[in-house]
Amino acid sequence: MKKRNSMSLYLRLFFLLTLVVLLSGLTMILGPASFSFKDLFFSSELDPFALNVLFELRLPRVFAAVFAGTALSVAGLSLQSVFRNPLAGPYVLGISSGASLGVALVLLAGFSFGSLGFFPAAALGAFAVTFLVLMFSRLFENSAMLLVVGLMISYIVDACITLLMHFSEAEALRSYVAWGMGSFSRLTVDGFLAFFIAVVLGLSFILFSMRYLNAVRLGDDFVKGLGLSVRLYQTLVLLGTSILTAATTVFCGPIAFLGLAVPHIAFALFKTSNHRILIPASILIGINLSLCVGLLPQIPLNAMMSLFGVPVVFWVLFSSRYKRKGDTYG
Amino acid sequence: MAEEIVLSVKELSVGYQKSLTTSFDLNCFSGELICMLGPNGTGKSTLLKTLAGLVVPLSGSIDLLGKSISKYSLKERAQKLTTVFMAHLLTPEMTVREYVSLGRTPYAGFLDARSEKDLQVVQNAIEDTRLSSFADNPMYALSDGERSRVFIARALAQEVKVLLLDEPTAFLDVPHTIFLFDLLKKITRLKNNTIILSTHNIEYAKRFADRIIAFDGKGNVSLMDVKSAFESDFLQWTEG
Repeated sequence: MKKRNSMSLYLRLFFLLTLVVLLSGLTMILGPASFSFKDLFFSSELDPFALNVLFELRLPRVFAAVFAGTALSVAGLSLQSVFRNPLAGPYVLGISSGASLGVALVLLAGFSFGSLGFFPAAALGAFAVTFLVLMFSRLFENSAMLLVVGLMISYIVDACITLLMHFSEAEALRSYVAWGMGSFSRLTVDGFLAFFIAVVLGLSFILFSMRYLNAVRLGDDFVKGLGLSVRLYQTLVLLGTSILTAATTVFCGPIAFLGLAVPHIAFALFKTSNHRILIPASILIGINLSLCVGLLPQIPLNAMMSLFGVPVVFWVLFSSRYKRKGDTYG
Repeated sequence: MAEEIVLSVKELSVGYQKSLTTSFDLNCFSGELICMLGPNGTGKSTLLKTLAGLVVPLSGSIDLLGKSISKYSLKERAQKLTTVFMAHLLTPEMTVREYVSLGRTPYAGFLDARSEKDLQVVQNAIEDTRLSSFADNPMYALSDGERSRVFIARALAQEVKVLLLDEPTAFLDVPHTIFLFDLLKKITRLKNNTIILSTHNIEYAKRFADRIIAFDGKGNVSLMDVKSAFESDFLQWTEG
């Protein structure tokens, strides 16, 4: 019985991994610029145009989707666990908005961090919102209140961004709006390294808190009874999610939805509460979703994300998790 | 039975800002089932939380296995003493085995893996609490009686010396209450654990407890054997 369970677990993870490879391949093949792959591989002369498209346009897009999918789904999963709320996510709690404000300050108001670009500003914005939300979470027992607080904070932050937009030049405004629609096509070679480091750093904070994540849904006293420091791990997880969210927001724009949706799909497919399984599962699902949505780079990412992702979530929700009688959700 | 002092409390008084009790001493031995009896609001839960390290004592000292409880690291303490929470948040999709396996957390590394030995300890805890037939069912599918045994199984998997339980039988009917008291009594006998629980079931406390921590409702607390507890003034409030 147990053997078969772990077999099918690895099978499911392997299936998701295969899908990642397939979709990455598709991302490399499909695109507005067309050239013949036959010529590329079988002619003796290399076509510089084709190589350029492949390695400077499409490969960065694959990596952007992989990093963003990893970052946002892990951030979403961790936030839903820490706040014990199935609606939590980096976007809902205002963390993405915080990062956006940082970017807006650089793009619209001309604040500059020199060669470091947007990242410090976005990270500061994300941290600020995360810790505001955390402070409020200590005041309220009820985790629904927390979502209200998160939404209120994002309204204030969004209002600040609107004010910045109102008073800025047309050119700056255009680039900010384009950034806000989200895209996987903006990752440069320099950006690649920074994005990679941020994802590894954020992810390691969260992996280090695995024991906490596995127990936290049962309450803070329960966590303490297992010999874990609530304050230490809560801070680590929130730092990790802020880094992951800020990095994604900087390099791909504020991406809605992914962080909220992916954990639900992972719960439905793997039917476990163990983060040792949920984290890799969420990462693979998040990457697949990002790659799918990114297949049409001409369309703004956020529009595609919702058009494609919402039906998936509905399908998952209606086919499993909350369809139970007499079940109260903690 | 070798009786060693497991938990030693000196001149303790408990409460949040204001003291709920006058100061008192307790010496709890290994292999004892101790029931706490007292009217609501006299500090039973607060005493349990204080012993568990969740509430700071207002004065006095608590020694666990001869060492002050404040000198333990969180992890060390969780290997010696744990609270069995009877009504707390649950994750519906968590299975019984996954829940019981959380008891191995104080022995796990930071990636929270489980060794063969851990899995065996979990399996034993499941068998000791007679949960084998639904070990792989989700928590939401259990009755209150079954769920209370799952909570206890988690504490057994933690391999502690001292178990603290706050009103473990509050939601249970008569057969399940008897079953649970019987189970707890067996645990003290077979594993030489000390169990301290609060309850309002005076009759069952009389029947199963080795000793009683009596709250007189006026702030006095005393640990006595069952017979003298019911003969003393401390339990006068039970006469109604």
